[in-house]
Amino acid sequence: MGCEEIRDLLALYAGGESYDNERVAVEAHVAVCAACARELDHFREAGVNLARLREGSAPPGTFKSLWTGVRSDLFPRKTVDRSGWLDASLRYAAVTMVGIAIGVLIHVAERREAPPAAGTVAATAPVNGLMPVQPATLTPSQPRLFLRPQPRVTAPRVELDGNYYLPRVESLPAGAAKDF
Amino acid sequence: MVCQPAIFLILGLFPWAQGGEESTLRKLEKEISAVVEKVRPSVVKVQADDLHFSGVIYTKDGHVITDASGIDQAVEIKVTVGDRAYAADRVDADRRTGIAVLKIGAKELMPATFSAETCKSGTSAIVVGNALGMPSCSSFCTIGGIGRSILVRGRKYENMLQMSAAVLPGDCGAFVADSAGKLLGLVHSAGAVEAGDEKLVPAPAFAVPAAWVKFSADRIIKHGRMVRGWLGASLLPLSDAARSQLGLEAGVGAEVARVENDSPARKAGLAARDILISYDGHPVRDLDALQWKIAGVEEPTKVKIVFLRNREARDAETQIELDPQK
Repeated sequence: MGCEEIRDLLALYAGGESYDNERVAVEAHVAVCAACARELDHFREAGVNLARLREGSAPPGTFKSLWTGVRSDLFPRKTVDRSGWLDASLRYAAVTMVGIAIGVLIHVAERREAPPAAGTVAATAPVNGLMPVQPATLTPSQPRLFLRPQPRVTAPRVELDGNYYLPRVESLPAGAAKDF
Repeated sequence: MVCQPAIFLILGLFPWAQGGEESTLRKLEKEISAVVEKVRPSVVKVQADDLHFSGVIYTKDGHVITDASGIDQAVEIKVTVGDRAYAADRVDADRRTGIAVLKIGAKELMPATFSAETCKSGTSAIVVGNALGMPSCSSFCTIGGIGRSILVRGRKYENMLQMSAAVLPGDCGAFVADSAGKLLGLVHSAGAVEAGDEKLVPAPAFAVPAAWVKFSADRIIKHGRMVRGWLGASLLPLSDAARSQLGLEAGVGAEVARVENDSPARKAGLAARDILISYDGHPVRDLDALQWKIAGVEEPTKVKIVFLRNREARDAETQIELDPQK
């Protein structure tokens, strides 16, 4: 085998992943070829260093330097040059908007839960008093509740003025007998 | 296209221009309204203590007819005619028909006129009363049957008119009018009946027929109390098969179903399963006619009867008494 073919096998040999016939060929060649022997030493040194990295913790600043190196490649347009005062203003504006929105929602909910005027309910009460009914709508100006369930508004019962009389038929006697 | 709205407007403003006649439904509406308006002045409110129901003016000088059971135990009775309330006296009641007569101190009232025609099943009727205390409530209905027997508050009532009307509490004693605004009957009762297993099924409304209303009211006004004859027996119409077996003429005979204790029938020796074939010298054919005849007795009267017992004819004399109204 020539140097070119041997160098393709050097990385495998250094990693211990070559076949037996390849290993014999590499060892025979590096014994007589100083250039390939140096190349083999480089591979061995790199393997030792990599093994050290896996066993221990990365040196301080490794990830930061890696991220700094690749960030511009991964997000080339996300890097905005923003001054500090602009960032702060935007944050304050966002917090203010959220606060205003919460205040509006609470205000709307309180208005919706207020009891209707007494006159509105009385006008919808049934005349016979047999079934209390609820007004179909409270007032047109009251918005629809969307925060909490609507409190149940019951109309006052209209009591019957006395007992209205109608005897109940108990049964229909069979037969056509007549009393004389 | 532009002219269309104008044409519709002209047709709407001038119905005669449409060339069509008034619809049957519209005519019916008008006639019902006219009957209600005609009847309305004769319908009164009756208040017996805390019970509120209806009544009808019977005479122009203050007799009012209403339901007897409503004023049974009443201490104070008031009758409201239009907007004016009167204290009412209970004259008397006929427990057989359920009709009571009240008297109020009013004059020149508008009495009901009674229908002279025989009410038939299918006759149209209009009920005008005070349903739930609302004056002159009306409902249109048909007479679904005649001669019905019903049990109300433990008492049997006969010859009732069955109605399809939506009768409500407060309508007891209401005016049942025919298409001419004449009285067909007086509302008596309604509601659900028990059909076994304590289940309630809807039942129609019932009314006392005009003829019996008039009979009871006239008797009460005439005598100051209810006076009617009483035999004290229940009779059943006889089947044709039974007649042929007994050798009776077609249509003759009535089976005695029950005899009341201490009644004229008991004293005359009548018993259950006897066949009454003659009353006061006339063959017994029509039970309705016999009922009118006996009820029409105004003082104790002796009559001869003939009945069959074990196929053997027996003559007897009985005295028709006045109904004790128990």
